[in-house]
Amino acid sequence: MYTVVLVFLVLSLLLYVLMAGADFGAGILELFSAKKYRSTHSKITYKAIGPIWEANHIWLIVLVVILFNGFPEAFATLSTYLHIPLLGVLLGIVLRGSAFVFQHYDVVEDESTHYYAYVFRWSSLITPFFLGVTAGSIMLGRISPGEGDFWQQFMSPWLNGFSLSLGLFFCSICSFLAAVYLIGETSNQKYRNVFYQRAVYVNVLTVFAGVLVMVMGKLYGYSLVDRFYDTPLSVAGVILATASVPFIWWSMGRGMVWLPRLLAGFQISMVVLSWVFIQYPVLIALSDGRALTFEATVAPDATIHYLGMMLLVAGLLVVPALGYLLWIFKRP
Amino acid sequence: MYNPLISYHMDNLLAARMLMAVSLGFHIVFACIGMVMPFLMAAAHWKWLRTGEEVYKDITKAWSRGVAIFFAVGAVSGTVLSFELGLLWPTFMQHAGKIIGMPFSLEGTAFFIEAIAMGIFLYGWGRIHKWLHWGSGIVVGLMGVSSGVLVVAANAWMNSPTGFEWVNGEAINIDPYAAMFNSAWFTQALHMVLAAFVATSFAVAGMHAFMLWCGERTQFHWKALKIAMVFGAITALLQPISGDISAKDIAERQPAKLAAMEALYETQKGAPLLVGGIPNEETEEVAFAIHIPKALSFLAHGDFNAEVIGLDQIPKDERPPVLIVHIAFQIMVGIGSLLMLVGLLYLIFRWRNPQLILKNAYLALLAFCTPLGFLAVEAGWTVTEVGRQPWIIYGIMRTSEAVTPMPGMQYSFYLFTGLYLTLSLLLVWLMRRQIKAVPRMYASGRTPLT
Repeated sequence: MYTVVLVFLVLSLLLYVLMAGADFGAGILELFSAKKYRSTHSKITYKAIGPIWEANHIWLIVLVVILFNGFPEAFATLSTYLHIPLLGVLLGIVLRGSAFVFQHYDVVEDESTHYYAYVFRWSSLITPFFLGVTAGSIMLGRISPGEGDFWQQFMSPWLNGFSLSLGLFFCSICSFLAAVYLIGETSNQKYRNVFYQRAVYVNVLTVFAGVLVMVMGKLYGYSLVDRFYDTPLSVAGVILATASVPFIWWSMGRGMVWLPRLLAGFQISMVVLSWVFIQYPVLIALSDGRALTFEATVAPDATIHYLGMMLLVAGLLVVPALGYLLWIFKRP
Repeated sequence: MYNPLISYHMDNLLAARMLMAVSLGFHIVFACIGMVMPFLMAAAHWKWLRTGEEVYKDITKAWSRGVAIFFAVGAVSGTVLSFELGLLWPTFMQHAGKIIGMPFSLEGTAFFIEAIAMGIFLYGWGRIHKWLHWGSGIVVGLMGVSSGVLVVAANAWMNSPTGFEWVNGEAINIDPYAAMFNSAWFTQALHMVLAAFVATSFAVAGMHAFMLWCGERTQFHWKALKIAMVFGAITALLQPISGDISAKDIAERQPAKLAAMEALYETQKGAPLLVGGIPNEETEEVAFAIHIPKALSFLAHGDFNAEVIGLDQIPKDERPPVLIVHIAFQIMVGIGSLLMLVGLLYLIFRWRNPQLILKNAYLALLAFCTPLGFLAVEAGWTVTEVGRQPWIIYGIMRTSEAVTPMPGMQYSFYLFTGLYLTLSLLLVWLMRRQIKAVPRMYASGRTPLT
């Protein structure tokens, strides 16, 4: 059951990135889109994610529940010392969900739509940014429970070049997924080209952001390069991720819809999995080389047993239902 | 001696408590709507599918618009709560997380299916078979009620902690199954589900009643009111029974909470029931109360001369705040009684002479009741949460032991209060626009009653 729990933890992380991440990405793209494209962009996004966005975001709740149920000490540490970036995540989630639904369910279309759209775009940037920052913070190892002043305990772990660069990196990944997915959501050739171009730009941006993360890692004492070499599975992940790039371009250039999506999803999954393999067996890195590992913070057997069973039941119920939802709305 | 560190920590605790209260108080309104509206919509939807009368389709669609908005705000405010469990009470989660995880994981599953079904219902008009589409609405309701019942299991556990042994500040021999099926779950879940139905149905009925009272006497508002009041009236009559079951349960399990609710300072046999009253926590006296002799003993234990435990038997540092709990309790019961009577009147009128419902006096009464159900829900949650203090896990862990060590909680509090206040104002504004648009958007919103 312990394995089941770990697998579901990784799966819910992956599915959240692939589905909700793309959701955020659509908003980020809209934010950096030229004004003339924005209105149509917004309509295409709404048509694409309208029925499925609420369901997509629940993977985060699944992740949180697995953490506090299965690894409660780690959850407590995370919630205490990364309180501020997590507040940022929440702020984005609340504003984004509200703005999105206000915009599309208001009976009257007037200037208020512009305010909602504005809030939607910016809040779409805030959440993935702070999620990336949180991820960076649990890698970096600056969390020092109970030691030092306010800055050292509650600010330094996340307000540093490495964590912030990871925030940027995650935003690029989300935008890339969105750009690739959105190509297939419109039959208008002009907008297909716009999204294709976006995908190109964001792909380049992602590479730069990735390099920035590596550089920051070196500067802040967390050498990603060394860790990759130590973890063959991660290297494999990175190689596969890079190798899929030409195939993504090829399939997009051919005007295909589903293949680029699958390949982009595959690529990002490889990136996330590489991270998981570098990180494991550590859950949260602490200062001075200490760490909270999965093994050390895991809940007792009885809890894990029930959690594993519940997750299996949940998977059996939710996955077909989700598949049905997607099939109704995404079939040609 | 004044120690600034201690004062700061106390302020931090108060800020954390206030933030949790605001977050829960905000979310519960949307949770109630999410639990109940799908059933109201399914009723209207069913009538349309069976009778073909456009008015029922109009009502279903109009209600869907509002529900979609409330559902989304409920979802995001729920996400906030799941994070706040850790952000505000990390020590609590560190210990309790491994014990009460099961209801949360089941709730997550129920909620996931609910969101999927909601997507199908809102966007599936004409895309799938009409009865399958109707069915998706029912699934939303069932999953909503399930997730409500399941999450209450976690709160019930805080009131009746079971499924572990507490040794040297740690929980051992954990039995998640026993923890979930704790003795407070049934009464709390029953009371909450009924409360959601009462609050939501009366709010919906009240709004339609208000429009009728204002002169918009259309088929739309009349039929909508009738659907809502069926749910409201029946559940309002059942709720006091549930309340009685809950009170008897609390009398056994959490006598401190009952004593605070009733402002009973002295343990006594044949204890009186207080109606109203303002307790003075310093002098331990209650002013302006109506005393009904022996009634509390009877209600709490079924025996007019039974002994009811008063606050004198609870150590001073284990007593909940009496003023807040007592007043909140009086508000809840007062409103519950009023709604029960209004519901009873409705059923009588409906049976004898439905035209009486359309009399301005009754419509005004219904309109007046619009926010009261939700007010009762907030009051009730205040009773049970404040009544559990100083404990976060009853008899095991104090709230002050559970709070985050990070200072500055007042800023988090200001942030979320500001955010939720803004959202609330926006929602009121949006609802007004939606209601105003009814005549414009729906033919039955223009069709007068004959």
